[in-house]
Amino acid sequence: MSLYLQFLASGLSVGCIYGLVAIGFSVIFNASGIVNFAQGAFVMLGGTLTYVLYERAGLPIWFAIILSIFLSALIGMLFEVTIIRPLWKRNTSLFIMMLATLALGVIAENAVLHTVGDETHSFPPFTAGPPLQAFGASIARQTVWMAVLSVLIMILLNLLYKKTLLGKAMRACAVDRNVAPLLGIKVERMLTYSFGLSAALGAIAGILITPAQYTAYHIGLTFSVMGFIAAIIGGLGNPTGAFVGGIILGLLQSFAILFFDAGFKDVIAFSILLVFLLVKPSGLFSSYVEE
Amino acid sequence: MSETSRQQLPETAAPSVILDVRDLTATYGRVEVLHSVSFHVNEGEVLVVLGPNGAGKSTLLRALMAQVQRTGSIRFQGEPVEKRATDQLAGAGLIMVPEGRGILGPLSVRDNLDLGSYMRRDGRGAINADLDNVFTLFPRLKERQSQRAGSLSGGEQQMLAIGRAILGNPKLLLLDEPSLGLAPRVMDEILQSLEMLKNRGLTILLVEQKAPLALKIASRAYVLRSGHIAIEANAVDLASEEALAKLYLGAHDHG
Repeated sequence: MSLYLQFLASGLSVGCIYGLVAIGFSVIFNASGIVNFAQGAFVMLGGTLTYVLYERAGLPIWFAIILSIFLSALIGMLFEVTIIRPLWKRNTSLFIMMLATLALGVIAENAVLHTVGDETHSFPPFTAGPPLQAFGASIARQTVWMAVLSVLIMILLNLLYKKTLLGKAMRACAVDRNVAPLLGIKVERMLTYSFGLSAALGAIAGILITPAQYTAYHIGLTFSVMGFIAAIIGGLGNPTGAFVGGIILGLLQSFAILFFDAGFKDVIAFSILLVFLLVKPSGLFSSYVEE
Repeated sequence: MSETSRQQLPETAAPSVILDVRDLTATYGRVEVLHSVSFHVNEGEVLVVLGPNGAGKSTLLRALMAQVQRTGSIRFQGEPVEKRATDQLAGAGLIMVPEGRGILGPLSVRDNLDLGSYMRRDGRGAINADLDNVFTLFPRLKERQSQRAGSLSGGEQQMLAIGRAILGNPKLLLLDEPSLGLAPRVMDEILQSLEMLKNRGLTILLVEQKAPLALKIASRAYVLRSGHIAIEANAVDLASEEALAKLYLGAHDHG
């Protein structure tokens, strides 16, 4: 019983992280139709920047966290303005723009490798102390942080999309890119915001998971792939769906480890991806863009 | 449509030109659809552009809104605006209800209306006053506020599209074929509301294929044929049966 609970908690918390990455995919996909494969790189950057600012520059941890989220968002927006927008204006195919995001991921990876190093890094959990004990399972405090903060961000994001004019304008661009400008909405600016938001979400995911695991220059690809699978499960066009997709993926992986072997967790993940691509490519939850 | 910003002009005042278009040419790729069209819209009037299918009516509006490639000069309220992007034109008060209405289906009716006021900077009070006006004009929109806009009937969607445009506080409202797909009874309702807006001093440029409908509320008309302006006339002169017949025969001449 306690063993199941242990794996349930770990699956849930890792799933929340996948979920955040998946939302990042969905935010950009909705705004542009682009699948941003640099998403995982922002997970790596969030953790790494926080480590550098905290351990090496000696900033207080909370300040290091905020600054690295901000910097990641800035990098995301800069990437949109300097690379995506010119391609966009030239009516380049989505495939080329996705290739550009892949290139950004590789560049970020190598930049970190050569400036920060190839070893793994971490920083202390948000709150110190022994794991929490519940029903015989022991759950790390950071695990709780991961789950609670992810859900909180999910809720905030929903409020942004459903309640604020800015969020509605972003949705308008996703629904009909020709109508939005008629309402005075600057579609390109919304795309910039989307890249910034998405990068920030990735960075937050990285910052949440680093104390529980570690960060290193090469972790981005894994998170890109897992976040993408989560988004496919939940539905690329639906942020809430994508988040739920992340939790489903995290739980399945966790129990794959429990019942089979750690080596099976990727087999499970990719099998699910194939099944969904074949059977239900639109995901479990319908897109808010669909009619 | 705040009362302060749109005062009715006295009947005797000489009409001032709100939109002046010269040699407007529009192309899709390499195909020129609109050939050097010149026309103007007077402040406070309902101008209708008639013409058969494929004459370039929708293209004309899209060209005004910078949604297709075009050349020529466009002056709006005395200022040259041909270099401005679509969202800037909307911000300046040139608001278009596009062909097919442009409703954001997955969003709620209220969200659609709220987005209509997205670019306004004249404060919550003025926007709320306009929202009340729209709800008075189209009570059904008020009842269905929280409904998905895509679930509305065609007529209700047209009302929503016009209401949303009104919330943008237009100086000139561009309407592309509002009668499309609507039952005559519903279209009458829409026409009545347009008439009301006209009486409050709103300037409207209406593009329509169904001439008899449009001429009911129009003061002046242009007939567009194969991308050229073929006729300019006062609406009353076109309203007679012979005149209309000529209009459509003319359409045949140009095939």
